[in-house]
Amino acid sequence: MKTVYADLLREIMRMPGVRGAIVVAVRDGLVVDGRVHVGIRSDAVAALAASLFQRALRSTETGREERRFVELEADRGRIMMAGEGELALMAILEPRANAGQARLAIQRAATALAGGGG
Amino acid sequence: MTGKTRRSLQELSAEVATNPGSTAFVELAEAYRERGDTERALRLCLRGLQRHPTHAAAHYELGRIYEARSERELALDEFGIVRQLAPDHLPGRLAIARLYLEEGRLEDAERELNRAGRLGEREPAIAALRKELAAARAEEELIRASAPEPERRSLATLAEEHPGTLGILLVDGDGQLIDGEMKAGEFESGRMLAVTLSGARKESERVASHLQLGKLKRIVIESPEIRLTVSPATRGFVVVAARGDSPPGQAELLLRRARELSDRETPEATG
Repeated sequence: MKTVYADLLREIMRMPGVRGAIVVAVRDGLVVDGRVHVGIRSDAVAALAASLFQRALRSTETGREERRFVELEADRGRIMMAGEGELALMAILEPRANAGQARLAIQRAATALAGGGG
Repeated sequence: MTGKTRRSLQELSAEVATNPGSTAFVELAEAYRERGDTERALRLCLRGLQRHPTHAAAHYELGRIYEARSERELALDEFGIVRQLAPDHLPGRLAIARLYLEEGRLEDAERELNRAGRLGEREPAIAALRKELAAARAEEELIRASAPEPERRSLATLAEEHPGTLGILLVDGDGQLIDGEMKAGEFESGRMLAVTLSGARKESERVASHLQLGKLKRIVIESPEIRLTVSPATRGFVVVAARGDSPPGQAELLLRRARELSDRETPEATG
Protein backbone atom coordinates (compact mmCIF):
# COMPACT_ATOMS: atom_id res chain seq x y z
CA MET A 1 0.00 0.00 0.00
CA LYS A 2 1.46 3.33 -1.04
CA THR A 3 1.38 6.03 1.65
CA VAL A 4 1.99 9.76 1.38
CA TYR A 5 5.55 9.11 2.55
CA ALA A 6 6.50 6.76 -0.31
CA ASP A 7 8.23 9.40 -2.49
CA LEU A 8 10.10 10.78 0.46
CA LEU A 9 11.40 7.32 1.42
CA ARG A 10 12.34 6.49 -2.16
CA GLU A 11 14.41 9.67 -2.29
CA ILE A 12 16.41 8.60 0.74
CA MET A 13 16.83 5.02 -0.45
CA ARG A 14 18.22 6.25 -3.76
CA MET A 15 21.43 7.45 -2.07
CA PRO A 16 24.34 5.02 -2.19
CA GLY A 17 24.99 3.12 1.04
CA VAL A 18 21.51 3.51 2.54
CA ARG A 19 20.18 0.19 3.86
CA GLY A 20 16.81 1.42 5.03
CA ALA A 21 14.55 4.41 5.59
CA ILE A 22 11.63 4.33 8.01
CA VAL A 23 9.00 6.83 9.09
CA VAL A 24 8.41 6.20 12.79
CA ALA A 25 5.74 7.38 15.22
CA VAL A 26 7.94 8.78 17.97
CA ARG A 27 5.55 8.25 20.88
CA ASP A 28 4.79 4.54 20.40
CA GLY A 29 7.67 3.40 18.16
CA LEU A 30 5.41 2.04 15.42
CA VAL A 31 6.40 1.96 11.77
CA VAL A 32 4.31 4.34 9.69
CA ASP A 33 6.04 3.46 6.43
CA GLY A 34 9.45 2.10 5.53
CA ARG A 35 11.77 0.63 2.93
CA VAL A 36 14.50 -1.64 4.25
CA HIS A 37 16.99 -4.10 2.81
CA VAL A 38 16.47 -7.79 3.38
CA GLY A 39 17.51 -8.89 6.86
CA ILE A 40 16.46 -5.73 8.68
CA ARG A 41 13.40 -6.00 10.90
CA SER A 42 11.91 -2.54 10.56
CA ASP A 43 9.46 -2.95 13.46
CA ALA A 44 12.20 -3.78 15.96
CA VAL A 45 14.52 -1.06 14.67
CA ALA A 46 11.70 1.51 14.75
CA ALA A 47 10.81 0.66 18.35
CA LEU A 48 14.41 0.99 19.52
CA ALA A 49 15.05 4.13 17.48
CA ALA A 50 11.89 5.81 18.77
CA SER A 51 12.99 5.19 22.32
CA LEU A 52 16.37 6.76 21.53
CA PHE A 53 14.69 9.70 19.86
CA GLN A 54 12.53 10.32 22.91
CA ARG A 55 15.66 10.47 25.05
CA ALA A 56 17.15 12.91 22.58
CA LEU A 57 14.06 15.09 22.86
CA ARG A 58 14.33 15.08 26.64
CA SER A 59 18.03 15.90 26.66
CA THR A 60 17.50 18.99 24.51
CA GLU A 61 14.15 20.04 25.97
CA THR A 62 13.46 23.76 25.76
CA GLY A 63 9.66 23.71 25.97
CA ARG A 64 9.36 24.44 22.27
CA GLU A 65 8.49 21.91 19.59
CA GLU A 66 11.50 22.05 17.34
CA ARG A 67 13.32 19.82 14.91
CA ARG A 68 15.70 17.30 16.40
CA PHE A 69 18.44 15.45 14.63
CA VAL A 70 20.09 12.35 16.07
CA GLU A 71 23.10 10.60 14.64
CA LEU A 72 24.53 7.39 15.98
CA GLU A 73 27.92 6.41 14.60
CA ALA A 74 29.34 2.93 15.03
CA ASP A 75 32.21 0.92 13.59
CA ARG A 76 30.18 -0.61 10.78
CA GLY A 77 27.64 2.04 9.94
CA ARG A 78 25.45 4.79 11.27
CA ILE A 79 21.86 5.74 11.92
CA MET A 80 20.39 9.19 11.36
CA MET A 81 17.03 10.38 12.59
CA ALA A 82 15.30 13.70 12.17
CA GLY A 83 11.84 14.79 13.21
CA GLU A 84 9.62 17.47 14.54
CA GLY A 85 6.48 16.58 16.41
CA GLU A 86 4.94 13.13 16.20
CA LEU A 87 6.91 11.64 13.34
CA ALA A 88 10.57 11.05 12.72
CA LEU A 89 12.42 9.77 9.72
CA MET A 90 15.28 7.38 10.27
CA ALA A 91 17.86 6.04 7.87
CA ILE A 92 20.31 3.18 8.27
CA LEU A 93 23.60 3.82 6.53
CA GLU A 94 26.58 1.73 5.59
CA PRO A 95 30.06 3.16 6.31
CA ARG A 96 30.50 3.97 2.60
CA ALA A 97 27.48 6.31 2.58
CA ASN A 98 28.21 10.03 2.29
CA ALA A 99 27.24 11.19 5.77
CA GLY A 100 27.02 14.88 4.89
CA GLN A 101 24.77 14.29 1.94
CA ALA A 102 22.59 11.87 3.89
CA ARG A 103 22.25 14.34 6.72
CA LEU A 104 20.98 17.07 4.42
CA ALA A 105 18.57 14.71 2.66
CA ILE A 106 17.17 13.40 5.95
CA GLN A 107 16.70 16.86 7.39
CA ARG A 108 14.96 17.96 4.21
CA ALA A 109 12.73 14.91 4.38
CA ALA A 110 11.96 15.61 8.04
CA THR A 111 10.80 19.10 7.12
CA ALA A 112 8.51 17.61 4.51
CA LEU A 113 7.30 15.08 7.06
CA ALA A 114 6.38 17.86 9.50
CA GLY A 115 4.48 19.49 6.64
CA GLY A 116 2.31 16.39 6.21
CA GLY A 117 4.12 14.14 3.75
CA GLY A 118 6.19 14.02 0.60
CA MET B 1 102.43 27.21 45.53
CA THR B 2 101.38 27.44 49.13
CA GLY B 3 104.07 26.57 51.67
CA LYS B 4 106.82 26.51 49.09
CA THR B 5 109.43 29.03 48.20
CA ARG B 6 108.63 30.10 44.71
CA ARG B 7 111.34 29.69 42.23
CA SER B 8 111.85 32.00 39.29
CA LEU B 9 110.81 31.09 35.77
CA GLN B 10 114.44 30.90 34.76
CA GLU B 11 115.27 28.46 37.52
CA LEU B 12 112.27 26.28 36.74
CA SER B 13 112.89 26.38 32.99
CA ALA B 14 116.49 25.42 33.54
CA GLU B 15 115.53 22.47 35.70
CA VAL B 16 112.95 21.18 33.22
CA ALA B 17 115.43 21.62 30.37
CA THR B 18 118.29 19.82 32.10
CA ASN B 19 116.17 17.12 33.68
CA PRO B 20 113.21 16.13 31.49
CA GLY B 21 112.15 13.51 34.05
CA SER B 22 111.70 16.15 36.76
CA THR B 23 108.21 17.09 38.02
CA ALA B 24 109.21 20.74 38.09
CA PHE B 25 107.09 21.11 34.93
CA VAL B 26 104.03 21.40 37.20
CA GLU B 27 105.40 24.42 39.00
CA LEU B 28 106.60 25.94 35.73
CA ALA B 29 103.17 25.43 34.09
CA GLU B 30 101.57 27.11 37.08
CA ALA B 31 103.89 30.08 36.70
CA TYR B 32 103.06 30.39 32.99
CA ARG B 33 99.34 30.12 33.73
CA GLU B 34 99.54 32.85 36.37
CA ARG B 35 101.23 35.09 33.82
CA GLY B 36 98.38 34.42 31.42
CA ASP B 37 100.41 32.26 29.04
CA THR B 38 98.02 29.34 29.11
CA GLU B 39 99.17 28.07 25.71
CA ARG B 40 102.71 27.45 26.93
CA ALA B 41 101.41 26.16 30.27
CA LEU B 42 99.15 23.67 28.47
CA ARG B 43 101.90 22.37 26.19
CA LEU B 44 104.26 21.97 29.12
CA CYS B 45 101.72 20.19 31.27
CA LEU B 46 100.60 17.78 28.55
CA ARG B 47 104.21 16.94 27.74
CA GLY B 48 105.02 16.41 31.42
CA LEU B 49 102.00 14.15 31.88
CA GLN B 50 103.27 11.87 29.13
CA ARG B 51 106.17 11.07 31.46
CA HIS B 52 104.14 11.22 34.68
CA PRO B 53 100.58 10.13 33.80
CA THR B 54 99.60 9.45 37.41
CA HIS B 55 100.95 12.69 38.84
CA ALA B 56 97.88 14.07 40.66
CA ALA B 57 99.29 17.60 41.05
CA ALA B 58 100.02 17.73 37.31
CA HIS B 59 96.41 16.76 36.50
CA TYR B 60 95.21 19.37 38.98
CA GLU B 61 97.37 22.02 37.28
CA LEU B 62 96.08 20.90 33.87
CA GLY B 63 92.53 21.33 35.23
CA ARG B 64 93.37 24.86 36.35
CA ILE B 65 94.82 25.64 32.92
CA TYR B 66 91.66 24.37 31.21
CA GLU B 67 89.59 26.45 33.62
CA ALA B 68 91.62 29.52 32.76
CA ARG B 69 90.89 28.80 29.09
CA SER B 70 87.15 28.46 29.88
CA GLU B 71 87.23 24.79 28.91
CA ARG B 72 85.12 23.70 31.84
CA GLU B 73 84.31 20.18 30.73
CA LEU B 74 87.98 19.36 30.21
CA ALA B 75 88.78 20.98 33.56
CA LEU B 76 86.17 18.83 35.30
CA ASP B 77 87.63 15.73 33.62
CA GLU B 78 91.08 16.55 34.95
CA PHE B 79 89.83 17.28 38.47
CA GLY B 80 87.93 13.99 38.30
CA ILE B 81 91.21 12.23 37.48
CA VAL B 82 92.81 13.94 40.50
CA ARG B 83 89.96 12.66 42.69
CA GLN B 84 90.61 9.12 41.47
CA LEU B 85 94.38 9.28 41.79
CA ALA B 86 94.41 11.09 45.13
CA PRO B 87 91.07 11.03 46.98
CA ASP B 88 92.56 13.22 49.71
CA HIS B 89 93.61 16.00 47.31
CA LEU B 90 91.69 18.89 48.87
CA PRO B 91 92.24 21.54 46.15
CA GLY B 92 90.98 19.03 43.55
CA ARG B 93 87.81 18.40 45.55
CA LEU B 94 87.23 22.10 46.03
CA ALA B 95 87.74 22.79 42.35
CA ILE B 96 85.07 20.21 41.49
CA ALA B 97 82.71 21.68 44.10
CA ARG B 98 83.27 25.18 42.73
CA LEU B 99 82.57 24.12 39.14
CA TYR B 100 79.44 22.25 40.17
CA LEU B 101 78.28 25.30 42.06
CA GLU B 102 78.84 27.52 39.05
CA GLU B 103 76.83 25.11 36.90
CA GLY B 104 73.95 25.12 39.38
CA ARG B 105 74.48 21.45 40.28
CA LEU B 106 73.85 22.17 43.92
CA GLU B 107 73.39 18.58 45.11
CA ASP B 108 76.66 17.52 43.50
CA ALA B 109 78.42 20.60 44.87
CA GLU B 110 77.20 19.82 48.38
CA ARG B 111 78.39 16.22 48.15
CA GLU B 112 81.87 17.32 47.09
CA LEU B 113 81.98 19.97 49.81
CA ASN B 114 81.04 17.43 52.46
CA ARG B 115 83.87 15.17 51.34
CA ALA B 116 86.22 18.15 51.23
CA GLY B 117 85.06 19.04 54.74
CA ARG B 118 86.21 15.65 55.99
CA LEU B 119 89.67 16.37 54.56
CA GLY B 120 90.13 19.82 56.06
CA GLU B 121 87.20 21.36 57.84
CA ARG B 122 89.17 24.48 58.76
CA GLU B 123 90.07 25.31 55.19
CA PRO B 124 88.67 28.82 54.58
CA ALA B 125 87.78 27.94 50.95
CA ILE B 126 85.31 25.33 52.21
CA ALA B 127 83.48 27.87 54.35
CA ALA B 128 83.40 30.30 51.42
CA LEU B 129 81.98 27.69 49.06
CA ARG B 130 79.41 26.62 51.67
CA LYS B 131 78.29 30.21 51.92
CA GLU B 132 77.94 30.38 48.13
CA LEU B 133 76.01 27.11 48.16
CA ALA B 134 73.57 28.43 50.79
CA ALA B 135 73.02 31.60 48.74
CA ALA B 136 72.39 29.57 45.58
CA ARG B 137 69.91 27.37 47.47
CA ALA B 138 68.05 30.42 48.80
CA GLU B 139 67.87 31.91 45.31
CA GLU B 140 66.59 28.64 43.88
CA GLU B 141 63.92 28.46 46.56
CA LEU B 142 62.88 32.04 45.88
CA ILE B 143 62.49 31.32 42.15
CA ARG B 144 60.49 28.18 42.92
CA ALA B 145 58.21 30.05 45.32
CA SER B 146 57.55 32.93 42.93
CA ALA B 147 56.92 30.71 39.88
CA PRO B 148 53.21 30.55 39.02
CA GLU B 149 51.45 27.29 39.80
CA PRO B 150 50.96 25.25 36.65
CA GLU B 151 47.36 25.65 35.60
CA ARG B 152 45.26 22.63 36.44
CA ARG B 153 43.26 22.05 33.32
CA SER B 154 39.83 20.69 33.91
CA LEU B 155 36.74 20.05 31.82
CA ALA B 156 35.37 23.39 33.05
CA THR B 157 38.47 25.34 31.93
CA LEU B 158 38.44 23.48 28.62
CA ALA B 159 34.83 24.57 28.07
CA GLU B 160 35.71 28.16 29.01
CA GLU B 161 38.43 28.26 26.40
CA HIS B 162 36.02 27.54 23.54
CA PRO B 163 33.28 30.07 22.90
CA GLY B 164 29.95 28.48 22.14
CA THR B 165 30.56 25.59 24.49
CA LEU B 166 27.76 25.19 27.03
CA GLY B 167 29.46 22.49 29.06
CA ILE B 168 31.62 19.38 29.04
CA LEU B 169 30.64 16.44 31.21
CA LEU B 170 32.26 13.18 32.19
CA VAL B 171 29.60 10.64 33.12
CA ASP B 172 30.07 7.11 34.44
CA GLY B 173 28.33 4.02 33.12
CA ASP B 174 25.45 4.44 35.61
CA GLY B 175 24.69 8.01 34.58
CA GLN B 176 26.46 9.60 37.55
CA LEU B 177 28.20 12.86 36.80
CA ILE B 178 31.91 12.47 37.55
CA ASP B 179 33.22 15.85 36.42
CA GLY B 180 32.21 19.00 34.55
CA GLU B 181 29.16 21.21 34.58
CA MET B 182 26.66 22.90 32.30
CA LYS B 183 26.55 26.67 32.11
CA ALA B 184 23.48 28.00 33.88
CA GLY B 185 20.73 28.68 31.39
CA GLU B 186 17.66 27.22 29.83
CA PHE B 187 19.11 23.72 29.43
CA GLU B 188 19.13 20.87 31.88
CA SER B 189 21.63 20.72 34.72
CA GLY B 190 24.70 18.59 34.31
CA ARG B 191 23.32 15.92 36.62
CA MET B 192 20.00 15.63 34.79
CA LEU B 193 21.68 15.61 31.40
CA ALA B 194 24.04 12.88 32.59
CA VAL B 195 21.09 10.65 33.52
CA THR B 196 19.16 11.30 30.30
CA LEU B 197 22.18 10.78 28.06
CA SER B 198 23.18 7.65 29.93
CA GLY B 199 19.80 6.24 28.89
CA ALA B 200 20.29 7.49 25.33
CA ARG B 201 23.65 5.79 25.19
CA LYS B 202 22.17 2.47 26.29
CA GLU B 203 19.39 2.81 23.71
CA SER B 204 22.00 3.57 21.06
CA GLU B 205 24.00 0.48 21.98
CA ARG B 206 20.85 -1.60 21.65
CA VAL B 207 20.10 -0.17 18.21
CA ALA B 208 23.70 -0.64 17.08
CA SER B 209 23.73 -4.18 18.38
CA HIS B 210 20.39 -5.05 16.75
CA LEU B 211 21.62 -3.78 13.39
CA GLN B 212 25.05 -5.37 13.90
CA LEU B 213 26.79 -2.03 13.45
CA GLY B 214 29.61 -2.87 15.83
CA LYS B 215 31.05 -0.70 18.57
CA LEU B 216 29.37 2.63 19.25
CA LYS B 217 31.66 5.55 18.49
CA ARG B 218 29.58 8.67 18.84
CA ILE B 219 26.07 10.03 19.32
CA VAL B 220 25.09 13.50 18.13
CA ILE B 221 21.83 15.09 19.22
CA GLU B 222 20.90 18.43 17.74
CA SER B 223 18.19 21.00 18.17
CA PRO B 224 18.34 24.54 16.73
CA GLU B 225 19.73 25.74 20.09
CA ILE B 226 22.04 22.97 21.23
CA ARG B 227 24.25 20.22 19.92
CA LEU B 228 25.17 17.35 22.25
CA THR B 229 28.03 15.11 21.22
CA VAL B 230 28.46 11.96 23.27
CA SER B 231 31.44 9.63 23.01
CA PRO B 232 32.62 6.66 25.08
CA ALA B 233 35.64 7.26 27.34
CA THR B 234 37.67 4.98 29.58
CA ARG B 235 35.46 5.78 32.58
CA GLY B 236 31.98 6.04 31.03
CA PHE B 237 31.38 8.70 28.41
CA VAL B 238 32.11 12.33 27.64
CA VAL B 239 29.45 14.85 26.63
CA VAL B 240 30.22 18.09 24.84
CA ALA B 241 27.30 20.52 24.81
CA ALA B 242 27.61 23.41 22.38
CA ARG B 243 25.33 26.05 20.93
CA GLY B 244 23.51 24.84 17.84
CA ASP B 245 25.32 27.33 15.61
CA SER B 246 28.84 26.39 16.72
CA PRO B 247 31.00 24.49 14.21
CA PRO B 248 30.66 20.68 14.52
CA GLY B 249 34.44 20.32 14.16
CA GLN B 250 34.92 22.20 17.42
CA ALA B 251 32.88 19.59 19.29
CA GLU B 252 35.05 16.84 17.80
CA LEU B 253 38.19 18.61 18.96
CA LEU B 254 36.79 19.18 22.43
CA LEU B 255 35.66 15.56 22.68
CA ARG B 256 39.18 14.36 21.98
CA ARG B 257 40.73 16.75 24.51
CA ALA B 258 38.09 15.97 27.12
CA ARG B 259 38.71 12.23 26.70
CA GLU B 260 42.45 12.78 27.15
CA LEU B 261 41.79 14.86 30.28
CA SER B 262 39.32 12.42 31.76
CA ASP B 263 41.71 9.53 31.18
CA ARG B 264 44.37 11.39 33.18
CA GLU B 265 42.34 12.65 36.12
CA THR B 266 39.95 11.25 38.69
CA PRO B 267 38.30 14.32 40.21
CA GLU B 268 35.58 14.53 42.81
CA ALA B 269 31.99 14.61 41.60
CA THR B 270 30.66 18.12 41.06
CA GLY B 271 27.22 19.67 40.97
